[in-house]
Amino acid sequence: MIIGERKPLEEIFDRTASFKKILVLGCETCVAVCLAGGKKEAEETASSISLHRKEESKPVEIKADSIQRQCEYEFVDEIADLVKDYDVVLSMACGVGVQTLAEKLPDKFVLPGLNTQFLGFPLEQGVWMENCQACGNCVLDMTYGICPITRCSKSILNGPCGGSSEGLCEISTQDNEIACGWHLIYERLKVLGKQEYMNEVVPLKDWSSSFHGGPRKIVREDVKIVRGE
Amino acid sequence: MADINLVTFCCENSAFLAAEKANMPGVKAVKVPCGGQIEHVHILKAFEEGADGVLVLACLHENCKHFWGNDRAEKKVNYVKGLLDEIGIGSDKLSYAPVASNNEIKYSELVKEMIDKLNEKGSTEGKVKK
Amino acid sequence: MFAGSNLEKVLTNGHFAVTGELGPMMGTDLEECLEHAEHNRNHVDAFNITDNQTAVVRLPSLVTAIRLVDRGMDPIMQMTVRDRNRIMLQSDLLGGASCGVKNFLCIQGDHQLLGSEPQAKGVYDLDSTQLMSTIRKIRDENTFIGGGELQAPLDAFIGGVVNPFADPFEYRVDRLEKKIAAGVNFVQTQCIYDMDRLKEYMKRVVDKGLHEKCYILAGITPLKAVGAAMYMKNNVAGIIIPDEIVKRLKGAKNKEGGVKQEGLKIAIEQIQQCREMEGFHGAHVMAIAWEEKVPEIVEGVGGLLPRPKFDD
Repeated sequence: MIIGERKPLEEIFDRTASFKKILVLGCETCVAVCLAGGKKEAEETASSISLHRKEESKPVEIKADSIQRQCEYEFVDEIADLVKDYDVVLSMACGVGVQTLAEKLPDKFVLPGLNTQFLGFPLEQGVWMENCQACGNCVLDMTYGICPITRCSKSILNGPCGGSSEGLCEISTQDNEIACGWHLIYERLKVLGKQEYMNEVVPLKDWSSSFHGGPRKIVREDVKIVRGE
Repeated sequence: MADINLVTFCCENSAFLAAEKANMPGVKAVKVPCGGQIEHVHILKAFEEGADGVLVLACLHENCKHFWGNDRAEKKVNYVKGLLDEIGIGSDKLSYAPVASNNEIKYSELVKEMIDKLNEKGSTEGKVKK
Repeated sequence: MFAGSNLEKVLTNGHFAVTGELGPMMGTDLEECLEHAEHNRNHVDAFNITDNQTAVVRLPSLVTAIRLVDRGMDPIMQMTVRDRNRIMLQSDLLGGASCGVKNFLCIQGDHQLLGSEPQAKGVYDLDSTQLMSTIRKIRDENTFIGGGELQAPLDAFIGGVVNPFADPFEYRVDRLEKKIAAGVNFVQTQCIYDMDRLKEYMKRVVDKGLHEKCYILAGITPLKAVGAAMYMKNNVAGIIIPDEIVKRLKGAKNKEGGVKQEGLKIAIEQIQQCREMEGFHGAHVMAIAWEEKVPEIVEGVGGLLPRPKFDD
């Protein structure tokens, strides 16, 4: 899922300072799961802005609400009326949600309250880790389940490099230990009895299927709704 | 000395019992089923509704009926302290402490401590609250 | 011959090769680097030119390599894949080759987070192994990655790096085999201090016959100070410095010549040991910030001078 973190409050306070009526909108899917932008976090953020404005003696009218997903028009429609009462929507959703709101509410100011970080999963409660880069041409078959594009800091396909030491990546620090992705792949292939795959020279990657080929779009003609259907 | 409004969030298994016995004026004791049930936004709302200071009081370490509720409460308090600093209110207006059900003396001491701290701040900032 | 560089000639004629290393400066004055080269020109067969080493912005290896060719020396142009996409990588190859550069060494490069520009975008379009196969394809098939034909051919003696001191150890020999399959002609090892591990590595290399498919040069870095040794020991991933070496250095503090002399002595001994080990075809002396000692090291090993010369 998409993992993010609320923007530092100082940044949020600065960015919303010129608005008098703010709607803080949470999203109940990915960002709720990573405890960054769900209903609770939207309420907390609204409360924080309110208290801060009181300290600054600059009153604000502020409300927190949330919808199931900000990335689908049908859910955004649910708050289309509510939004009319506010000058700005501070979206706690990921970048996708913020932009969907902006598309659906072209006359409204929409601001991001979250820094979208990565595609990942919870390792344990409170720890989320990146493991997919959406490269557009999945190579997980090569390693039976560990992504070299994401788990290797240099996205090497013929790894590991010479900086792999004791299972750690060369950019590992004491505060942030990063496993060497290729060390993990090697160990996994060993368990599955497939380490000969490490001896094949993997050819160059076609990066045009990833963001390097421009913003991507998928069209399924077979499921599109045609007027009158 | 100005009137100071305090809110104490008290676990019903420990601190709330002490709060009832202490029965201090100007202090609104809010009963919660477990310290762990307190959310960040509850504390912020208390400040929004006029509290000058907030205390979160739960069971003694390792005495929580739900095992880790008190530890979770303490972590949440530390998180909100960070928010309070960023907001500009200041983290010292919030505190966490374990209070046993029969220790109304400790309860009153903690409340007095917070009141003193707030008065100090009040006099240096020249604010008078009514 | 793949490219006929001086280094290639030394190796194909069965001599024990000696290569040096130059690290261009973080500024626009090439002379400093070229002076080191001049000082060592009769003691080495070729010079590695580092490429924005340790992810710090420096004069590029391409430019330094060309200047070296102009002065009649043989550069080994290092190319990291961290900073260039395939367009630039191929372009730099053309650039070097057009000016007489014949040796190209493919490396991953230290991650940009560790260098002087931690906010940079790391490129990593290719990895170092893929760069080797790319250079081979351009050289042998006269074709760019994208399929187009070169308008004038490229010759290259393809180099790489191996690290017997990185993990996982049991994979490191297979990794050399893979680089050979990708097209590497010669490799230099990361700097050697742990002789036991090296011996085990070379034994496996020889067992697989890899030393007959690729020239292997032993990487040697003389240690200048105990502090430097400790830093490398504790902070640089992929370098192992055994306690005995540190002990030797510490013990030399009160000897004549001090720690520095002991460091040079250790380097000389290491080269001598590698010469006796089956599988090595040469030594790569990395004396960055101590280039003036290279002649002393080469002389100290014995039997390496004068360096072989070939008429073009």
